[in-house]
Amino acid sequence: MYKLEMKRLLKTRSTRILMAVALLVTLIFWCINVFDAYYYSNDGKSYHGLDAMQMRRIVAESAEGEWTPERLRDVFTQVAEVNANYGAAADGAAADYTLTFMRSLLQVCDVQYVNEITPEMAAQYYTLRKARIEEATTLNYGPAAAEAALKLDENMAEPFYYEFGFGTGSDTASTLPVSLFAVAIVCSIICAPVFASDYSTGADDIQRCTRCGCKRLGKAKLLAAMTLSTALYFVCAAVFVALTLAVYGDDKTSAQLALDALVLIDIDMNGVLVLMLIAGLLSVLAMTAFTLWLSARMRSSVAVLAIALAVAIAPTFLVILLRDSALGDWLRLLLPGGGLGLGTGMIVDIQVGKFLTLGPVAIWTPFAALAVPALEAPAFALLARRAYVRHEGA
Amino acid sequence: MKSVDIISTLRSLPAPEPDAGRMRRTLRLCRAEYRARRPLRRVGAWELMRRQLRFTILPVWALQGALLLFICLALGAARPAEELIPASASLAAELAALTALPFHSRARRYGMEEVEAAARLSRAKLTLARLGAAAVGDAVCVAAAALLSGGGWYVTLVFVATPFLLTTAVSLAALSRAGGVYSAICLGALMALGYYAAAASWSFDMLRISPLLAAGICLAAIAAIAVEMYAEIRGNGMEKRLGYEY
Amino acid sequence: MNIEIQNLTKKFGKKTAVDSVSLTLTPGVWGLIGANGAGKTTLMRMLVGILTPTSGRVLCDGADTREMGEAWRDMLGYLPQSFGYYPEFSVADYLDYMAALKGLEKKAARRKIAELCEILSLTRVYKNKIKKLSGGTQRRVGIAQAMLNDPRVLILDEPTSGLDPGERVRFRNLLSEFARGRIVLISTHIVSDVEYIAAENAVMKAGRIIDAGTTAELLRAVEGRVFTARIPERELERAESAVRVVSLKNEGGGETLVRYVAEGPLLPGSDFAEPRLEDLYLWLFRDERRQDDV
Repeated sequence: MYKLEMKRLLKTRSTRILMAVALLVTLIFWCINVFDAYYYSNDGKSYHGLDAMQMRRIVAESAEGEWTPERLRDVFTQVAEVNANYGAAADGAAADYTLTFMRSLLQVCDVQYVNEITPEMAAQYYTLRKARIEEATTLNYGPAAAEAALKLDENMAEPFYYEFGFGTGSDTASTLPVSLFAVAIVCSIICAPVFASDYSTGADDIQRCTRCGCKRLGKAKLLAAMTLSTALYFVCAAVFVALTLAVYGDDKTSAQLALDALVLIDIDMNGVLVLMLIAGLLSVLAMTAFTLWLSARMRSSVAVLAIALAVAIAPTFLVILLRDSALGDWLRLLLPGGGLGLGTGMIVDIQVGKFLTLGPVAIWTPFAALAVPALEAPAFALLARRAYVRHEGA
Repeated sequence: MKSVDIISTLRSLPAPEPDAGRMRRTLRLCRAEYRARRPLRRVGAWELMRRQLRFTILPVWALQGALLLFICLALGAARPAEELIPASASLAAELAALTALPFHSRARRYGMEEVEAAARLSRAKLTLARLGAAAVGDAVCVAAAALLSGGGWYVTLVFVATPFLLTTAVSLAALSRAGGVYSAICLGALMALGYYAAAASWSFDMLRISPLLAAGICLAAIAAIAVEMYAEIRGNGMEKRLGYEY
Repeated sequence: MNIEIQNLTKKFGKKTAVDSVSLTLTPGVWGLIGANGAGKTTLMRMLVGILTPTSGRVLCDGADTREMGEAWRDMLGYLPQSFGYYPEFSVADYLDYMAALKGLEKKAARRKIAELCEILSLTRVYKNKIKKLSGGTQRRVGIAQAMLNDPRVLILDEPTSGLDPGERVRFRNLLSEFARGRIVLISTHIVSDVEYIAAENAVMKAGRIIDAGTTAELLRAVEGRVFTARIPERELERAESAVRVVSLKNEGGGETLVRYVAEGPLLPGSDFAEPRLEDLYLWLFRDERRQDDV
């Protein structure tokens, strides 16, 4: 039964076209990631695409390794000397040298320009960082969240490590989530008519009266749709990641340097990539299961599609409408597609150090972004099966 | 032979004089036939719109009204973060293009096409009334997106007009050629997301596109929309939809 | 009034769906009989103006209906074979909507709707959603919309499908009354419907009118060709392959009463039977026996 349903899904022309579209979108975003890179050297030359990447790799070589407090002090002593001798040129030189974690330093030291950072401030980076975490989290989420943040940060391995890779050499952190989001949308589009179209044509009335019965049939349809979505996700993610690793290699840079000082767990960019992929898979499964549940409840594939798409893009709009509000975060993360979105998702949650608070309990949002879809996927799948079994023709 | 000569020759030929009585009888019969005819009550455009309002126009406007509210909220909320505005404005414009889609070709989907085509009011007038109503709603939503985006004419062109027109053209083409409203919504949604992602990541680069190119894209999209609307109004493809194969 | 169909043809590529049909429809009920794919629906669609003929024309009292435009459609009432409706429509909404499309003034439309609902027993379901009604009741709603504008020409494609026997009788009576001074054209597979009420019939086959006339005139083609015979059950299979069977009735005692059409009495013990339109239908379409008839 399951094989027949898979065959039926794969034989549908629109399914094949949509799968090809998902793969194409993945490839397009990977290409944009690589070929939209620019590098402008101090001598006025500009580099593009893979050449730009090579230049960045060369420039970043001198910054690779562990960034101990002593190294930071030495670097900024040199920056101060260059600044004293050459003035405004210092910013450019410092930018080249510390191009990976400029934002992190500026944020932690609470300054706007590099030349405001003294060697002593630079040496205090790790201490200042912890103070910054406590201050920002208390201000935004309260003392319970600050305590939870510091507890998470306790296991941080210092000093942080930097090497050139996909994390800092490319826009993978922004393009991968978008292409995974496109896969989630395509999966919803494929799954929307799984039950609903048979209801509207009346074919379901015949199918559920066959020997297999509606329970087995419902289970087979669900499994087939979920398998297809999982397979599509794996293929698209694998293509993106494989091409990225082939061009850039892996990246053991500490996420605190590549992304944001407020990253609260001891993780490098390889780990961030894995987390993004896991969160993406769970979100895709949750979205698929949700769409299948809608399909099992409604007769119109168009209505199912409209609602599924609305739910998929809702996190994107919640981020705009309810920016910096707890309600926005709660709603976003409770939605099936909460781990993916445009301008939102796991990567943003890791970067920004957000918490969901309920009284004395504070949960770091990436944990919620993993846990909620992991619970929702099987829940919606079961609801979908139940709705299909209980469906009665009009 | 000259016309004057022909006329004078004809006048000179013997011919019976018209019988006044017969003329009167003919007139009487004509008048009776005219009075017995089925009077055709004039139905003006206003009455047509008014009678269609409840059934087909209000539902479209209700959905577009909800979208308008959403546009105002979203763009209002996005204002403090300028980097979000181009992407939000483009997504609002694309959603405006998609909201009227489920109402297009409803008659076709629900088997009402034959009965409507056989009714007195011409199919073309009816389709025009519906398209016009949807266009009014779209215009209001797009205008709101343009005003609230707060940018100049070029920002409006690149982030409001272009995505709206492109999404409308692609989804109307999909509606008539690629399997109906489901495909149209899928394609339109994927286009909308693509444009949104591009606007979110490369809004500055997009503003560097030549105004001529942007205007050219808009004009091409308008032409494509006009072709689809014309085909819809003319009822092209009716035979295929009724199941006849060439 | 009369409607003159002059050499009406419709081709789809190499296929000719309607082949040079000429017919004059006069006031009264006309039955259009034919097998599936004979071209009945295509002919009707050309009459109402949904399809454009490849050649030929339709004249209403001498005027070309294509040139009449709105005036022609104002005189028409049409019920297609597949009756559709918007899912949110109730009976009231649907009839209001169709009245608007037919250009009826609101008050007059309301009066007419009330009258038709009374005649077609739709008063009790007036506020109900059409999708919740039975097939037969939906069909009656379709008939009501066709009659809303008091048409001079009523064209109904399979109007009685889905109606129960009682409803069919009421419908036949309604049509008979309605047809006074009007033209009613019905296409149907339920031959008994037109047998009782149609003054004239036209038989279509492969896009052509092969015969037209009153029921009595048409039945002359099968006079002396309709037989009944009582045969043992074991002979049934052989009999079915030898003749075109109209009906079989189990008589008990191992015997079956067979009614069939043939050039002569081919089964032993055959008696002549009074011909009906159903016999004519099977006689005219005897070449189109189904595979499983053999």
